[in-house]
Amino acid sequence: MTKAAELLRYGRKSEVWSKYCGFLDLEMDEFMRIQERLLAEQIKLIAQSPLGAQLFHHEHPQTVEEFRQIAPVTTYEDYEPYFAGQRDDMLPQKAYLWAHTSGRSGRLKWIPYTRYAYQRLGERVLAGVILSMAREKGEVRLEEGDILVTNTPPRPFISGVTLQALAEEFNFRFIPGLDETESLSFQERIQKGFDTGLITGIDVLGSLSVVLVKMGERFAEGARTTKLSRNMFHPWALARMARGLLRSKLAGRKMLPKDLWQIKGMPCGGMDTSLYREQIAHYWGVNPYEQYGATEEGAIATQAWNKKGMTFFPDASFLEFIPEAEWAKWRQNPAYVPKTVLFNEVVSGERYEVVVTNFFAKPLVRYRMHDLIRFVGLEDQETGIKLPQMVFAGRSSDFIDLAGFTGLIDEKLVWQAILNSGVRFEDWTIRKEVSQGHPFLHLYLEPLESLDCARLQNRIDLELKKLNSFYADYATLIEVQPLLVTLLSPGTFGAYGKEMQARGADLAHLKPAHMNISDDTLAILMRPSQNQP
Amino acid sequence: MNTWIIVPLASLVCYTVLLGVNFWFGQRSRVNTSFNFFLISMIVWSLCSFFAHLDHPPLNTLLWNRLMIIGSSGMPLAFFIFVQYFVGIQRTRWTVFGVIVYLAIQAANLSGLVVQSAYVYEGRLINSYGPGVVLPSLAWVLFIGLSTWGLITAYRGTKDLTFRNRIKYLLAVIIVIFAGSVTNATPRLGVYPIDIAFNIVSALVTSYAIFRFHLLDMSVVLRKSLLYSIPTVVLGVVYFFLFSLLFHYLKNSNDITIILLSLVVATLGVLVVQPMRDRAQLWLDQALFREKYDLGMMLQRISQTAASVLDINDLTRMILAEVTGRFHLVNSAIFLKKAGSDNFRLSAQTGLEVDQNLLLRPDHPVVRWLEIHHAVLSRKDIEIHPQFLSLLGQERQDLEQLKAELFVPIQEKGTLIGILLVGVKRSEETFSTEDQATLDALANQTAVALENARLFAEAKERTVEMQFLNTAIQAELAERQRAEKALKESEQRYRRLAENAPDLIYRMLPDGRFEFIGPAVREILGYVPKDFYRDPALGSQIVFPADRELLAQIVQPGTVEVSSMKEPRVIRWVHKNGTLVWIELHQVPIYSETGQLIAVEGVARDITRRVHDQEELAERVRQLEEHNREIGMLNEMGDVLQACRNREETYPILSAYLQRLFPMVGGVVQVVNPAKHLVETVSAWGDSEISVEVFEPDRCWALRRGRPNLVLDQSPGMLCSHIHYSQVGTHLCLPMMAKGNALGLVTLAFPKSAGRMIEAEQVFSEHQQKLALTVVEHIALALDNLWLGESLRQQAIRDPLTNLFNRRYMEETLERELARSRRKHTSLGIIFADIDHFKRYNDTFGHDAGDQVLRELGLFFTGHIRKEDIACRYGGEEFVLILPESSREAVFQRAEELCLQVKQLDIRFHDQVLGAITFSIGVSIFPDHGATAETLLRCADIALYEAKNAGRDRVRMMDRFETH
Repeated sequence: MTKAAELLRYGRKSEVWSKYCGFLDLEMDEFMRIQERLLAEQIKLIAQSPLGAQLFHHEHPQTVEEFRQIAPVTTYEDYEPYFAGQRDDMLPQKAYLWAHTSGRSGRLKWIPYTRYAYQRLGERVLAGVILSMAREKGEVRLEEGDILVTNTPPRPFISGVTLQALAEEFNFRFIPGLDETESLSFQERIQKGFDTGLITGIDVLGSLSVVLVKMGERFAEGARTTKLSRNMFHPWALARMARGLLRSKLAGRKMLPKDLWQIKGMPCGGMDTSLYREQIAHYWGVNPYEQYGATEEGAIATQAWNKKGMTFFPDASFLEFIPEAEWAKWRQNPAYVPKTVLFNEVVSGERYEVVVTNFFAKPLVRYRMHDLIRFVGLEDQETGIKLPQMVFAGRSSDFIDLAGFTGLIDEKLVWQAILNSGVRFEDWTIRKEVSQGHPFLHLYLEPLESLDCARLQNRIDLELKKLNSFYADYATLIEVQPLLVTLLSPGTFGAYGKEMQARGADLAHLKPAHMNISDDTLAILMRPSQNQP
Repeated sequence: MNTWIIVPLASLVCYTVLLGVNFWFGQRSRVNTSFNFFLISMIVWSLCSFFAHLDHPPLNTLLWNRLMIIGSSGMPLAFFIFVQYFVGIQRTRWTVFGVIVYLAIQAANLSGLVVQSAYVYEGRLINSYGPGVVLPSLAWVLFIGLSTWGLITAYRGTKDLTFRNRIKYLLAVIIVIFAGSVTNATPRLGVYPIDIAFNIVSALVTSYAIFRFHLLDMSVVLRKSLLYSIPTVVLGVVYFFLFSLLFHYLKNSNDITIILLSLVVATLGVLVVQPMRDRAQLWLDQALFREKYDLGMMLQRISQTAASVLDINDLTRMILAEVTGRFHLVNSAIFLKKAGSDNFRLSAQTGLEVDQNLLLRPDHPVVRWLEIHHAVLSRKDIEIHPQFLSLLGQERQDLEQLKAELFVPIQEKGTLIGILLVGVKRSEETFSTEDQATLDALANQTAVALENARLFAEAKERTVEMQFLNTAIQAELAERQRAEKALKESEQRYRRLAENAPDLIYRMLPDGRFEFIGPAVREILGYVPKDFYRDPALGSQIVFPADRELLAQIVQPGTVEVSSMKEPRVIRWVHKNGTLVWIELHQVPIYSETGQLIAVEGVARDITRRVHDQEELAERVRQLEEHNREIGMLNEMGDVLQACRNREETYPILSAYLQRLFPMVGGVVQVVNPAKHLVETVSAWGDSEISVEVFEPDRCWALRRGRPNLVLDQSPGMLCSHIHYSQVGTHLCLPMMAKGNALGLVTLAFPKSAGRMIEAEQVFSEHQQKLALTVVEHIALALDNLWLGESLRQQAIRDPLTNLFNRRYMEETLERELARSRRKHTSLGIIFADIDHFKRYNDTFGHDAGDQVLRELGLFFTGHIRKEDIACRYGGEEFVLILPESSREAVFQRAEELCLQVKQLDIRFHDQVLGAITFSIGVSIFPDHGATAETLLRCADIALYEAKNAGRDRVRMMDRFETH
């Protein structure tokens, strides 16, 4: 199999684009043909396994429709008895590796990857890197030995597995090295990446959006971003800093990260990426790029070169979608089995929960991702992509159903309202509470500046009303502001992280969820003496 | 003005434009960046050359010349770095070395060791070099040499023709650079900026090689160049000699002669130029491009022979042999569309070890791609085109096994009829565009022949099939004759069967006439077949009137949908002797070959006996089900009654179940009171008032006799006086007897109404009476058990003399009440009362009088406490009262009131006044006096003794509890 490095070496950039990003030129019927053929293969593979026999009730579906009738919609609980013990004997093929992630409940979710699925994952991730670098269709700025700085969690977290697959697909120079990163903490990874990046430069920067914004803000404030180290006195680092200083002086402002590094691509993680897009572009000189993925499948959808809507990979998994109405029925009655639609049946502007069936002998069948997405268009005229475009709307557990008719309050909406209010904050969390028979939103926010809580509450309330008409209607109906803001004392979220770390929590649980935190979590946040609800 | 300055000026402009284009439009890649360095060095070189040739202040020519060395000596190093990135080979040490050497050259240059003097003379740059010139010269040789070596190594290391072609361009660039530099070594040319002019060409060619992906094939360029230049040179030489000869021999010829001669020569030239060029091409291809020549010959050979080969196997083998031989392939194969299907079957192959039945299905991505694009597909295309993401694992394995580098479509009239799979070359080189074009042409040329051969093969197969079919038809004819004979025999057999069968077999024509009716009709209906042949209407006349319409629907085929005939139907007929006969009809419609109904054949079976049996069976089943339902309900009622805690709970249950068991009647349940002198109504249902509410047992015959008493409305027998006969008609009184005792009475009654006589008899059928008796026995037994249980429970917790609760019950209750008080944080009071001088009553009036006192006190306490208070006989003449949720003051006050009120009792025994009674009372309070029952009772007891000691007839309470 010809890989990208070989093609690049021979100057075949257009073939690199075609191999990795060519799926963006597919028509809907071509996309569905790929889906249906790979599903047919997957059905055969999985039906022969003990797990498949259970899921299919010893039947062998022959068509997509039969498959959808026979196979149940599943969740991780259906697989946990076998996956928790990493049992290969139940699978269609022996697992090449097991990736895991930590769910909200704190339980580890283990997902097996076959060798081929892992290899295809590497290809999809590389496609993402190429697209993150591209500024127009067909532009391949990838070069052998490109410096890739990342601070995402190491193996066997899916982000680490993904990077390993990427390393096997293309000869990036990873900073910090993939083996080294496993022994570093999150902070150390960030420090090491940028520290070394001063010497080597950075071509691709993979990070959480909020980290990039924080760094940018500190630069803009003139604060030192990293601790002094020996690397900073390296001649190349000094030259880089001198050049950055010169650029910033010429521009008549304080030095920003973009003065130090000419980054080609910036794959970002986190729900907040789209919200921070302009800030990141301002600080780093490049638009952030997003992929939609999960441990269960790796990369599932990707943004194109315009860094806007996301397009599903045709060969990642067989896609089904639970329409919002069906999802709502299930929410009201968990015993209800929601109906699904196929990729060529989705409606623009509608929200759906994603349901995937693995390909390439991976075991998940009609698996509910518990992720809600929204299709923003059935094609993208700007890029000429003729496939439905979607944006990530949030985890299904991250929605607040305020009073049944308010529409769903999601994380992005709240985040946008907070940002629009102009408050500078460390972090926040929100949940639904009830007072005097009326449900209301209770926002707990740690500000970075002293401010008047009542005024902030009014500002955020106003923004929520602007962003969500249902919320505004509800406020009018109950004649009381359905929002309460509690300001947390400085260091609250930091203290929470330290406590969780001391309890042995993994990276995913060092910060509380933004939506719907439990009473126990709230109790920990409210523990600092000055925090009063 | 020095005209030579145009060259450096032009090159300066050219390099600057290239740099600008590369900077603004080129990608920011390492190759481009290194090429920018190359351009910058060239710009410096050109700029300095321009000023040196300009020979104009402020700087003098020597200085410009020295500055020019900065650019010219940087160029080889920049080119070396550029080549490194271009071929992807890093020689970092050489680069570092080059930088050092470059710095050394500049040091030597600036110190005057390289160029010692320079001036412009008649537009030429005259300079003299010092010993330092060796350094840049060696550096030039070294880095241009290394670049060349790098390119050659990369060329040898890759099989990619595009990349090789690109490398060829860079090698050409080096040749140009070398040629330009050689001029510097020539004293007469070195004074002109010829090298710079050459470098413009090199920079332009390099830019072309970088910016463009699809470059012109260098071999094609070379071939075409030779193709045009050789005839030109030959013609030129020929012309030269011709004209030389002519001029030599025709010295005195005039102009017209020369013009005519020129015309002749030109005409000859025109005539020979094309054949000469063709011949030149042939010679060139033979001499320099042998491969292409061989391919062309191969195409020619195949197109000549293919059409004459009709055997598909011979043809495919021939094609594969040619292709494999000419392209030096390891393997190759041909797939052809299978007759009668869309699959492509492996038809022939060389050099492969694969399953000969290998198929490519029509939805195979490769097949689809070839059908849509009609062009050669390479293995690399499969790897890069997204349509091939749909390849399945098995398909990938098949393709791996086939080891195909190219898939060449074989098309006939735009339809894909086959696929030529071209494997890897023995040299492992890739296929050029020219190779692909040749193979495509080969496929096109052989397509018709292949299609013809395929059709021929199909025709042969069909002929074999036809022969096979012919044989089969002969065999079938013989078989038919045998079948006809067997059919006749069979018909006779079946006729015998029909005539002797117990069922009636018939065949009816569409107009309703019987064509055949079996002799069994006599047995079944009493008529003979002739009766039906004579009178076609007879069949419908003897049908039971209610079933005539149904008969019309099923036996008259002309009037109904034949589909309904197929279902068996049951029709009632009247036998000749007048009895009703049930007949089940099974019919089959018979059609002609044109689909027209020609008859109906059927079997009629007498099922009269079966129908009667079924009716009887159904009735029995119904009765059984009813019986089961009643038994089930009876059991259920028994379970519910056993779960009742007291008599009152049972009454509504009794009426509910009795109503369900006897839904047609009303009823009343009456029980004998404990004194057994009155019967009282406890439950009733239905519309009518059946019995008086309360009456003496003697007024009911059933109670008096201990047996059920049925009274019919129209024929009264033993009438009971408690029944309201104005409203009640037929009724049944059932005594509830247990252990010989009448516990009560259940009366089931039908409202008085003349029109419901029959119903009343049905209701009180023998079965119903038995059921009613059983039900009442169940009820009596359950009530007796319940009463017995109640009695025992009361005996267990009550003191039989005073009917107050006994001590054991008090202790249990006190613990429970204390726990409740703790839970509810309430207080609780204990009153411990003792009759003063009770012994005197016994001694004076006897123990019976004493007992009477205690009985009266039992009544006294029962009447003077709250509902939630508990009064107990503690023992002897001691009583304990538990007062939940009472305060200290309230308890004390209550105790004092009891002291006062007891004195007012007027107790008599045998008309003898026994005298007033007084109490001594001790009081304790939870939690003031303790938390346990034992402590509280002890405290109350101590307080009681204090009251006794203080003179009796008083109440005392401990101030505090002292433990001892």
